[in-house]
Amino acid sequence: MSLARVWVQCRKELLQFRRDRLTVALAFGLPLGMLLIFGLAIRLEIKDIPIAVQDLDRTPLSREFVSRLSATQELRVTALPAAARPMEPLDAGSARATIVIPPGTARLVQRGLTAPLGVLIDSTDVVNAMTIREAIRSTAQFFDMTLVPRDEFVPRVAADVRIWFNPGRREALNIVPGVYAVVLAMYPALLAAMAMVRESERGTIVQAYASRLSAAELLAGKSAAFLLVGLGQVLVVMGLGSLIWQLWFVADPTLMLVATPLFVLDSVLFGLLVGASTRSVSAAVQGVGSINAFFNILLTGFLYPLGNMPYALQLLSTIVPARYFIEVSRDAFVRGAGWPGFGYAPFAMAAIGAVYFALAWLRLRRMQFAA
Amino acid sequence: MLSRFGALLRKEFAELARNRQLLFLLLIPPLVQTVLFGVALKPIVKELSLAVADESKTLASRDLIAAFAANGVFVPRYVDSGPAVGRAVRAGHTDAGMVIPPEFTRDVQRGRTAEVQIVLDGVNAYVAGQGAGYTAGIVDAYDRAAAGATLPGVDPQITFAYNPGLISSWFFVPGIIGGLIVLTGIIAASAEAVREKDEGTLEQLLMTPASSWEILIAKIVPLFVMFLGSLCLGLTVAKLVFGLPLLGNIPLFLTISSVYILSGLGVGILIATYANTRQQVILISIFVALPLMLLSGAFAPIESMPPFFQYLTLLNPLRHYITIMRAMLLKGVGWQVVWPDAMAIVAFAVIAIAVSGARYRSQLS
Repeated sequence: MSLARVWVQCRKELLQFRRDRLTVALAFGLPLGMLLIFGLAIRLEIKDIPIAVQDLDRTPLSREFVSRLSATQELRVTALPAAARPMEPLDAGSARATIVIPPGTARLVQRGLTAPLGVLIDSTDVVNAMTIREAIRSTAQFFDMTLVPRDEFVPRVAADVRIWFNPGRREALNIVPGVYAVVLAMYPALLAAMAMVRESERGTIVQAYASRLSAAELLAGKSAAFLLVGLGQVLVVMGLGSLIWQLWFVADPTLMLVATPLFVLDSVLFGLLVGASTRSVSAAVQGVGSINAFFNILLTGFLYPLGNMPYALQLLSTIVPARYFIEVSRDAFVRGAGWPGFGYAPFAMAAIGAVYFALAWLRLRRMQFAA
Repeated sequence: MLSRFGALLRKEFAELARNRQLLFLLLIPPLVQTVLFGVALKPIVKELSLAVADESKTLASRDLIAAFAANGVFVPRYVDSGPAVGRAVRAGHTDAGMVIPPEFTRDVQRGRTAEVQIVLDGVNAYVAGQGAGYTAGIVDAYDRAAAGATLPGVDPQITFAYNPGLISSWFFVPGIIGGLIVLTGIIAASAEAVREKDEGTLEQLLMTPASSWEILIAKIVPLFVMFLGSLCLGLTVAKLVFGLPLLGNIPLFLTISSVYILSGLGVGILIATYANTRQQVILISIFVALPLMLLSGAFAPIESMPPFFQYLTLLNPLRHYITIMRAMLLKGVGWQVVWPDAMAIVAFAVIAIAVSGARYRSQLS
């Protein structure tokens, strides 16, 4: 392999890239846009869920309970008239749950019995439904504790719960490092794929075949070029991310510094593989886009933890570089465990990258041009 | 005029049918993705790993650990000592940790409240929040069971409406189907509309006696038919694989879906009037379609977004379509409930097609 030829190929790619102004703008604008949207808008935890309460008891006790419900962060209470059907607000979409406090509730409680409340929860949104259930349950639990005199009921256990690394429970600390992974998996791959497929679409690949450039040199040159572009994207995206959300290395940054270029390289090699395997730009983009969307958003623990998925899919995630990078990224900016915790990541990513390179090389090696 | 239009239509259909690779990519991956996303997206947190240091080792402490392990919420793993728990959490090897001090048994026997320490890995704030909630619920239930006699108080009897099994795919699949339609619709329509500019055959198009409206509609119709078919196919597959309910007024739903598809195609054509090559058009399409998909309530709830973004989503036809989809298919409600969202989609479609049509015409003449 001649390094000089690789370098020439790399320079040619960069020149070609620079000339298409729109692509350059989008190569940096798109990742930034994605970062901003995800970082600013996407949150999983919900507050102020509208619920309807139908108080048919109308005693000081029931009113006290309703005011406790209003006092929770998660719920926003509106009163439902006694004549209305409990399912009405759910059907209309104006409330996510209806609580019916039946008449005689206060009397039951005062006699030392349990008083059932009717609760209907709209479970089309499964996560919302769980949040609402927990909020109602915990409000009821705390409310019940106040009804009992202190000396009559001593809890056997009290749990002192601490949340480490992120006591403020900032979701951005989880989402933004994850966005780094999604963005760096998608855009370098897209650019590389388009560059690769353009060669075969336009027929310029024949010149490469006819030259002394070997398939490996061609791939190495293109990878180097788009790795450089990708590192530029890294600087822009992570730079902005650290500014807006004050994300900085918590402890030893070396794992992240090693993992990042490896990950970008994996992304570029994947793009080159797809580009070498498809014949039109739209097909290449759809291929990179849909495979990326599925593998990198789902099989990486980006939105929901990996452990939630069926085991077969968890196994599948072991061949996705982004899964390792997300772990390293989140750890580097929040927990700080570093090499002892996630040192296996760069090796896994390097192995996957080698496989991509080998597959792309096998496709290009034959140097046959399908007209 | 009709035969002219018919000829154009035949040509567009034929071209679409000939592009096997594109057809495949527009039909199969969305279907596969719908199924895979539906299978893989499981937001309900469970099986959190819990590193336990039981320094008390009695029946009472084991009871407590068993309470945490019940229902698969936490998965306990025993470690030697309290500091070992801290090390495991700090190394990222466990989601949570619990330390039961040696005084636990003594306190329980003396009727005092025994303290245990719970540590949660806060890297994922959502998971940590759920873990904290579960902990509070488990400890409270444990305390009540230990107290023996029933305590007075209110007892919420919870019923889940519409989706009693809490099947997460029922929530995500409508969003995914709608999102993929808008994503692939915009990309396909924009690639289609820019084709002549990209290939350099614009002159041929200018020379045809067909009016620019006829040309445009002829381009839209095959894509429209394909996406409507894709939608029906997707819903059928979702019903077979996930048991997705298909309640409500189906003809009304398909009508609204048709308008929605048209709005997506309209946006695609609009994008094509702003670019010259297929590559540019695809990048812009992704730039437009991704925010539409993300800010739509498909994956993350709109209610948890900052107010600015919540208002912004009102301009997103996908947001309205997902609301309608969930309301009509899962709840079975009708026009009285969904008409505001439906009218929003209609307005969007009309504007998109009118503006893109006007621009396309002026570029063609």
